[in-house]
Amino acid sequence: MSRDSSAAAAGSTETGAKRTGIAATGEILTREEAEAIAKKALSFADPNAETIVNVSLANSQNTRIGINRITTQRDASLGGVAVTTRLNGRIAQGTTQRFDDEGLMQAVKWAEDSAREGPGGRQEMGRLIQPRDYPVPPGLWSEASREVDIPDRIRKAVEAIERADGYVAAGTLDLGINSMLVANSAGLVAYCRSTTGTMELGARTDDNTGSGWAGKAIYDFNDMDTVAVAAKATDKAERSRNPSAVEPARYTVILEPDAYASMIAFMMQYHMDLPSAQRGSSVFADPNGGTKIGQQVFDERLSFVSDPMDPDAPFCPFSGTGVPFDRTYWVQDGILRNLSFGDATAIERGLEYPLANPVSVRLQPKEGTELLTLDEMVETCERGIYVTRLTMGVADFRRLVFTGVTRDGTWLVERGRITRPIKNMRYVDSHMYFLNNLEAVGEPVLAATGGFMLPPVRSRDFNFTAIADAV
Amino acid sequence: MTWSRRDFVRTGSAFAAAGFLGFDSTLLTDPHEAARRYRPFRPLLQDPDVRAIAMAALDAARASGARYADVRVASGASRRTIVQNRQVFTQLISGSLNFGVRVLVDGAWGFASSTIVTEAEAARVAQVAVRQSTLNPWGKTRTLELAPAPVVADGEWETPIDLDPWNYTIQDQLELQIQANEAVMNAGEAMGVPGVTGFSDFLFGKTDVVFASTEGSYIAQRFHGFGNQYGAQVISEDRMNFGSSSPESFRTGGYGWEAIDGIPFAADAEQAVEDAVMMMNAREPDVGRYDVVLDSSAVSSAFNASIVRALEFDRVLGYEMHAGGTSYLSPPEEVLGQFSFNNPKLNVRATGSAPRAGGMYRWDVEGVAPADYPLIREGVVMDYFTTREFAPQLDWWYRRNGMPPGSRGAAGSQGSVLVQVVAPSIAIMDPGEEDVSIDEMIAETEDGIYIHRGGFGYVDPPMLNLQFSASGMAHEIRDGKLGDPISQPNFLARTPDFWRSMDMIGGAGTFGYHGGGTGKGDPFQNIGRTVGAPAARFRQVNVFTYGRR
Repeated sequence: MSRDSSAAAAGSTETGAKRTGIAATGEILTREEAEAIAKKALSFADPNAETIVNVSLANSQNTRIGINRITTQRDASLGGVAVTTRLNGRIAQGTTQRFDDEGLMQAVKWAEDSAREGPGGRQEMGRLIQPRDYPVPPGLWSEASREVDIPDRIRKAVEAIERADGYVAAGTLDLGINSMLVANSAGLVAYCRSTTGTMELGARTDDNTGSGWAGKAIYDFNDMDTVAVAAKATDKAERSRNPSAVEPARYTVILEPDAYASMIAFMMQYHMDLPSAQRGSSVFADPNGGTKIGQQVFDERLSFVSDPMDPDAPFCPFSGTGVPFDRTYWVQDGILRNLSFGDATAIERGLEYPLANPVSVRLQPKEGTELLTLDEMVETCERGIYVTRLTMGVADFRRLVFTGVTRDGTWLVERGRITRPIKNMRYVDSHMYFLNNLEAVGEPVLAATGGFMLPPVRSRDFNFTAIADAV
Repeated sequence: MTWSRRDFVRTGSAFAAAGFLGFDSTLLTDPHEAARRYRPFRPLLQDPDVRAIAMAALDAARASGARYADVRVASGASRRTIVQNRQVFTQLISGSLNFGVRVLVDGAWGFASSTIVTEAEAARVAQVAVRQSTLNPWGKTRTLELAPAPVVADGEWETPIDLDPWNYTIQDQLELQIQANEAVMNAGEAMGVPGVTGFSDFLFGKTDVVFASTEGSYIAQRFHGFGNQYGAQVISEDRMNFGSSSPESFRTGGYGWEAIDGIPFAADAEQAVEDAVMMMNAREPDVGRYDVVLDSSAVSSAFNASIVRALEFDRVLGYEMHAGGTSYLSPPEEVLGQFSFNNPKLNVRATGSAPRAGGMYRWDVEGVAPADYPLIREGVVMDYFTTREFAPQLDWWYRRNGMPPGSRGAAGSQGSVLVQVVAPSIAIMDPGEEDVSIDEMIAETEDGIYIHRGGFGYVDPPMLNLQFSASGMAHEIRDGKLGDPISQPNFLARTPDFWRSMDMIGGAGTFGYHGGGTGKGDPFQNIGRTVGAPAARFRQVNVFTYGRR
C-alpha cells in the first residue's frame, strides 16, 4: 500500500524505491483498504443486527540480542477482524485473521449464530457510536519509523552491542507499525495508525557480580538512541559489581519510573472499572459500600490522566468499539474521580457514550510541586535504597499488593550519595502505599514499555522482606 | 504493499477458491450445521493448498540462500464463554489462519510470519526471513550445525479426546455454564451464605498445524484443549476478603467436550461454597518455621517454577537473560553429573506423553519427537531440555556417558507466528517407591501446614530464590492431625535448599498432573505444558504472611 495516505486517497499506488522488491516489509492498511474490508463484513451482516467491525493489520519487527550478538529476528504481519453482533438482546463476537470474503463471512456468522439462539436477555446492550470525527494525535505516526528496513534495525542493534563491549549483553529492539479501523452499522468509520518502538538492554559484568538494565520507548525511530541505552545499562552494571547485603526491612526508596511501570499498567488494566468497584472486587471498592470515588487514594500531589493527545505519549483516540477517548482524570490531586463504565451507566447519566479506559496514562505531579531529578532525590536522601527495576507478581489482587525482587542495579544511599551496591531483595508492597508515602517526585518520562508517562519517586517505608541473593 | 497482496485483498485467498475448510453456504442459515463443520478430522496433511503454500515458502527460502528452512501453517478455532451467575459476559468464537517461516543462512536465524496465507505471501515472507539472516553480521562468525533429526515425511497426529466439542453449539456450552452457576447460587442460598457468586469461563481450542522443512519432513498435527475456570466465589461483608473454590472434578488440559459433560454440578456446588467460605474466614498462620506437606498440585507448582524452567538450555546459556531469565543450573560443564540437590528422593524425567496432558504434541515445532529421558537422577542433574540448535553443545557430555545425542524434542512456541524457543515437554517428578499417602505424611508431622489444591511459585530471574504462595487451600497440622484452615500461607526458600529439605515423598497414589509451562522470549511467549508430581513433605520451611489482617 502507499505509504502516503494522500496519494492513496487520490488512488495512486506509489511504491518507494526501497519497497519495490518482493521482500518488502512495514506494510499496513490504509484507511481506504481497511474501510473496504469492514464494509464487506458489514455487507454480510443481518440487517436486523447492530454490528461493529474492527479491522487491524500490524507489522511487528524484532531484533533480539543475546550473549553480545543478534540471535533471532522476527518480522510479523498480523491481520485481524473482530465482528461484534447485537441481536435479539444478545451480544456475541466472532474473530478471524482472514481478510477474504469467506473469512469475513465466517466471523459474521459465528457472531450472529451465537447471538441468535440460546439463553438470552442477560447482557447489557449498548448503543452504537454514531458517525463522528476523531482528532489525530500528533506524534503518534512517524514516517521515519515506517521507512525502517532490516539494515536500519540491525545497525541500531550493532551499535548497542558495540557500546556494551566488555559486558555480557542481552536485549531486544522492537518496532511496531500499526493500523486499525472501527466501523459499525450506524455508519461510523474511525481509523488510526501508529508507530511504536522499544529498545531494552541488560548488561552484566564479566565476573557476573554486577548487572544493569536500561530501556527506551519511541514513536519516531530517529529518537531511538540505542547507544545511550547501552551506556546506561553498562554503567549500572559496572557500579553494581560485588554487592553486599543490607538487612531486609522497611526503607526509603528512590524508584526509577520503569521500576514500578508494570504495577501502574496492572492497575489500569484490572482495577479501573466501575462495576468491579461496586461489586467489591477492585482496590477502589469502599469497604463500607460503594466505591472510593471522591476519596483520597494517593498523595495529593499526584493525578492520573489519560489523554490521546498527550504530546509525549499519544495513543489512538477511540476504543475497539469506537468509543472516543476523551481527556480523563481518573485521579485528580490524589482523589479518585472516575472509573470506566459501559453504556447502561452512560444512558442513566444522560451521556452520549460510555467512559472507556485506554489503559495508557500519565502520572502527573500537581502544578507548583517541586520536581526533583533522580540525582537530586539521592542528594537530599539521608538513608535509602535506589531501585532500577522490580520484577512483579500479584500477592493480593483485592488490595493490589505485589511481590517480586529488585534487579539490575540496586544501591544503598547514605547522607546524600550512593555509597555501595547491595544484594537484591524481595519486596511485598504496592504503589497504593508508596504513592501515598511520597517524599519527592520528578518529571514524568515515557516508560520503556511505552504507553505510560511516569515520574521517578522517593517514598518512605518500602517493604523489603528478604535477601534474594542472585544477580 | 506488493501487488500480490493487493490482489489478495481484492479477490480473496487461494483457500477460498479451493474450498479450504469446506466452506458451504448452508452454514449461513443453520447454526448446528455451522458447529458441525469442524466435526470430521480433515488433516491439513492431505490439503494440497497447504502443501503448495508450505513448499512456496521453502522454495523461496532456498532460492534466496537459506541452507535450512522450516515453515508452520496453522489454522485454529476457539470458543470461549464467560458466565457469572446467570449473566453472559462473553460469547466469542475465534478463528486463526497464519504461518511462520524460519530460515538459517550461515550461522544466523531469520523468522517472518503473516496472516495472509497465499503462495505469493509465503514467498515474500520467506525472503524477508532470509534478508534478516543474511544481514546479521554474526552469521558469518560461526557455523550453526543443527543436531541431526529423523525426517518425518508424512507425520500425522491428533490429541486424543472422547467428544468433539465442535459437535456441540455455543448454546449447549452456555446452558451448561448457567446450570453450573445456578447450582452454586442455590447451594449458597440453601446454606444461608450471602453474596455467593457462581462463575465459569470455558474455552475450547482446536488448532491444526502443518510443519514442513527443507530436510523433507511434512507433519500435520491437530491439537485440542480445554481450559479456564469454574467455581464459587464469596466475598466478606466488608468486601476486603474473598474466598473462592473450584471443584476438584473440574479438569483442564487435553480434553474435548467430556471435560464438562460429566461434571456433577449439584453435588460439587455445596462443597465449593463451603470451601470458599472456609478460606475467606481462615486466619493467617503465625510466622515461623514449619514442616509443610504439599499435595501434588502444590508440589507441581513449585517444581515447575524452580526446577523445570531452570533446565531450559537457552536460559542456561544466557539467551534469555533479559526476558525469561537465566538459570542457577549453569554453566553446563559444572552442572551435568556434578550439581546435586543432595536428595536421592528427587528423580525427574521428561516424557512426550501423559494422559490428558495440556500442550502435548507428537512432534515439536521443529519436527522432533519428544524424548523419554532422565533429567535429574537421585538429586544429580543429568540433562536439559534442548532443541536442534542447542543439543550439539552437549555432545561432549552425551559421548562421555554413552547417552544418545540430539535434540530432546523440547522446541515450542505460543503460535506459528512466533519464533521457536526451548520449551519443556512434559516434566515428571517421580513418586516414591513406597506407597506413602498424604494421610501418613500428615500423621508423621508434629507442627506443620498442609497446602493443597494449588499454589503459585514466584522465582527470581536465575530461579534461585523461590517464593511459594498457596492459592487454593491450607490447613495447620498439629500432632499429626489436620487443624484449622489457614489463609494463604507463603514460604520463602533458596531453591536447592528447598528440594534438599524434601524428606518424605508420596507414592503413586498421590501423583497427579497439573498445569505448568514457561514464559520467555521477545515478544514474550507463554507456553502451557503439563507437569506431574507426587505429594511431598519439606522440613523447616520459612513461612510468612502478607500481614494484611
